[in-house]
Amino acid sequence: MKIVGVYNIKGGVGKTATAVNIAHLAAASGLRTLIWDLDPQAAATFYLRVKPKIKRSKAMLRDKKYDLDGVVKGSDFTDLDLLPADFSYRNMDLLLGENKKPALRLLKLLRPMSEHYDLVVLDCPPSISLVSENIFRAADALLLPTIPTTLSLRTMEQLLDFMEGHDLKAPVYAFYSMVDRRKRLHQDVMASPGDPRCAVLETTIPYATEVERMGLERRPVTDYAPRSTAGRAYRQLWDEIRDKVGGLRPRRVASLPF
Amino acid sequence: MTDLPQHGFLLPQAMSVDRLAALLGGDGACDVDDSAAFSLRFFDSFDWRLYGAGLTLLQLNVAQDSELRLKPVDGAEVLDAAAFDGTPQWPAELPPGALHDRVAELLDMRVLLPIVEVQGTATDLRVLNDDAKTVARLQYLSMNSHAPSVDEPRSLWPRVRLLPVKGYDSALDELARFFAADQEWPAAPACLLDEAVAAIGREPGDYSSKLDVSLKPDMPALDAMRKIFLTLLDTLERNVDGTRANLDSEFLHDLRVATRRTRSALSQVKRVLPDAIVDEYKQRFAWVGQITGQTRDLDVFLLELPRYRDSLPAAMRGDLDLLQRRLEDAHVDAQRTLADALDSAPFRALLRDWRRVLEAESLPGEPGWFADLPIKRVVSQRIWRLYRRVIKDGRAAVHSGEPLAMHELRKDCKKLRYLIEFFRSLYDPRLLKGTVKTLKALLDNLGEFQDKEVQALHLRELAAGFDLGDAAVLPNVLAIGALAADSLRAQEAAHGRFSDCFATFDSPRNRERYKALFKSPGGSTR
Repeated sequence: MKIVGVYNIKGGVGKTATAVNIAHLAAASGLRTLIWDLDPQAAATFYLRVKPKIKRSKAMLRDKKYDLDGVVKGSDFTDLDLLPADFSYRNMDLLLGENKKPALRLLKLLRPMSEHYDLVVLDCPPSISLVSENIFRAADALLLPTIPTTLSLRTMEQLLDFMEGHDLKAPVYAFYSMVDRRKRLHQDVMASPGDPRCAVLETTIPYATEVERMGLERRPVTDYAPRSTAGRAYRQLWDEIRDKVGGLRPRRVASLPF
Repeated sequence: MTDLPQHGFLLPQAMSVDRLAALLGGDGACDVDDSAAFSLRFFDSFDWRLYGAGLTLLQLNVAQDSELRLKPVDGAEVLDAAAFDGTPQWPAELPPGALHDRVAELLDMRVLLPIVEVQGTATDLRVLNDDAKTVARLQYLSMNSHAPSVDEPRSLWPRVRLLPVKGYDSALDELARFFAADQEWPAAPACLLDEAVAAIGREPGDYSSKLDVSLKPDMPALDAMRKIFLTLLDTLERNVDGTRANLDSEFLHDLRVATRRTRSALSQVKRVLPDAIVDEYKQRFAWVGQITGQTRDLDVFLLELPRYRDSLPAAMRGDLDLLQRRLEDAHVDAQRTLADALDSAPFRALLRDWRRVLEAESLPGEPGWFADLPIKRVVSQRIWRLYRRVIKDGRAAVHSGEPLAMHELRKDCKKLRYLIEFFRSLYDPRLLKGTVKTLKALLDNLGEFQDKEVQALHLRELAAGFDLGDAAVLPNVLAIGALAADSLRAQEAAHGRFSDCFATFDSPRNRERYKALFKSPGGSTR
C-alpha cells in the first residue's frame, strides 16, 4: 500500500479536486483506492455524495484498537472508498497531541488498511500543524498543487523549510494548478527555475469551469468529462504520479466469481 | 450482515439485465453501468485427474489479461493463480508455484486438454438511495458454453452477484432478502464446471481407464460378456483419436489395456461366444497389440529416461543425450506407422465388425455351451480353476527359482486379475479387496522381475546400435551399460523378494477368501 498526501499550506489551490480525481483514476485502473478526507470542510466527502459524519470520531485518535475500516464508506465507483470527514476534525491537533507519539498516529491507524487497499490518498487541510506533520510522516509522497503566483511559491518554501527542519524525507512533487495561461504572471512563475529541493511535475492543471462543476455534479471531472482539457490534464497528472511513486500494480484480472 | 451466496443467485432465463434493473426500480434507483466480455476455459486431463482430486483448473481471460486459477470443485477460494498467456498443455510449462506443483503431481504424464469454454458478459449495476448515492453493486453474468463437439453455444443460467459497498450493509441485506425470499432465486453453485459441461452433453469424470461394469449374478453369460466387451470397445474407441494425434502417452496405454483385456476376456471366458468368433477376434485384436507395441515400448523408455538419468552419477548424466535423441527419432517413425495403422481399413473394419457382433440380436455360428448359464456360475468356476493353477505353478516357481516359471506365472496372474476386475460387481467387495491387494502385490513383483530383464535387453540392443568405432559415442555406450547393470541388479532384487510376495498371496487367510468367493458359489457348470 502506498500513501500519497495532497497538501498545501494555502487553501483554495485545488487540493481536493486533485485528490478526488487522481483517486478516481487510480481506482478505475484497478487499484483498490481509499481517499481520506482530513479536512473538516468535507469537500471530498461532499463530492463523493457521502455524509460528513464518523461514528466515535474522537476515539479514532485516542483508542488504540479503533477499527478504521469500520467507518469507511464505498463511493459510486468500483474500488474507490472514502474515509469521510467529520466536523470534529477541526480539533484534530488537540486530539493527536494526547497520544504518546503524536506525529505517528495517522500512520499507525493506516497500517492495517494495507490489507484492503493498494493506494491511500490523503486530502489534507490547509495550514501547517501537527496534522500536517502526521501526514508528512505517513506519506510515501507529497503532492503539492501550486498556483503559479509569488505568494504560492512562498508557501512552498515554508513547507520545504519545515520539512528540512523536522528531518522529513517524503519526496515532494509540486505541480502547477489552476493555471491561466493568459496571465503573464502565471507564465513567468512557471518559467522560473523554482526551489531545487522540490521536483516540479510536467503536468499543469488549467483553471477550468469543468473543475468547478464538480460541486454540482458531485463526482470527479475524470468521470463526467474525461475528455475535457481538465479531465485529460488529471489523467496526465495521475500517470506522472504513478510513475514517480512506483510499486502501484493493478490486479490483472477483474473481479469475477470463478 | 446476511450471509451472501458467494457465487450469487441463479436467475430465470428470461431475466435480462434491463429487466433486472427495472425490477429494482429502474432509472434513478438502479443504474446499469459498463459491460465487459470475458471467457474461461476449463482444463483437465482426458481422465479427469484434477476433478477426481477435487480441483478445477481454469483460464480466465478479460480484455488483454489471462490468468490460470486452481480452485477446489466445491469451494470459492482460489488456491493459486498465475498470469499465463497461451494454452496450457504440459505441467512443466506452467509458471513455478503451488499451481504448477499440484497440477504436475496429479497429471504425471498426462497433458492438459480444454474441456469446455464459457464465454460471457459481466454487466455492473448500481443500486442507489434517495440521494442518488450507490449503496450496493450488482454483477449480472450471462454465459454460454462452447465446445467443438456442439454446433451452437449452449446458454447457461444467468446469475447475479451482490457486491457490498462499504458502510451500506442494510441495503445489501435488503437486496439479499428480496432475491432469496421474495423472488425465490436459488444460490448459484460454487462450481460452474458442472453446469458448463452438462450444457454440452457431458459430465465430469465421463472417462476413466478403470473398468467398472455392473452385472447381475443370474444374467445369462452371453449378455454379461457382451456388456463387458462393449465397455472395452468404448474405451478403446475413445482413445483412438488421442493415440493417433499422440496427445500424451496414456491414450496409447489405455488403448492397449482395453485391447489386452478384450483378448483376455475372449480367451479366458470360454464357451460363451461361438468358437469361430472367439478365434477370429483373438487373432484380429492380437494384431492391434502388434501394431501398437513398438510405440509403447519407446513411450516407456522416454518416460523412464529422466529417472534413468537421475540414477547415474552426475558426471555421466549428459551422456544419455544421444540415446534420448535416438529414442525420440525412433518414436517419431513409430508414431507415424502407428497413426497409419489406426487409419487403415483393417483397423476401422475391426472396430466396426466387433461392434456389429456385440450388438447383433443373435450371433452367427454355434452358440457357446455356457451362453445361457448364469454368469456368476460360469465365471466363478473359471476364476477358481485359474487360481488353483496359479497356486500350483507359483509353489513350483518358488521351489525352482526358474525365470521362465516366473514369467509364466505372471501371465496367469494377469489373467486372474483381469477376470476379477471384469466380474467385480458380482462379489462381496469386502472379501474382494484383500484378494485384489495381494494379487496386485504379487503382480508388481513379477512385473518388476520381467520388466527389468526386458529393459536390460533393450538397453543392450540400443548399445549395439551405436557405431563403436566412433570414439564420440563411447560415453553413451558406457552410460547405457551402467543402466543395464542397474536394471539387472533390480531384477535380482525382485527375484529375491519373490518367495515372500508369493507366500503372502498363498497365505491361509487369502486361500480362505478365494474359496469363499469363487469355489462353486453358484454351482458347477457341469
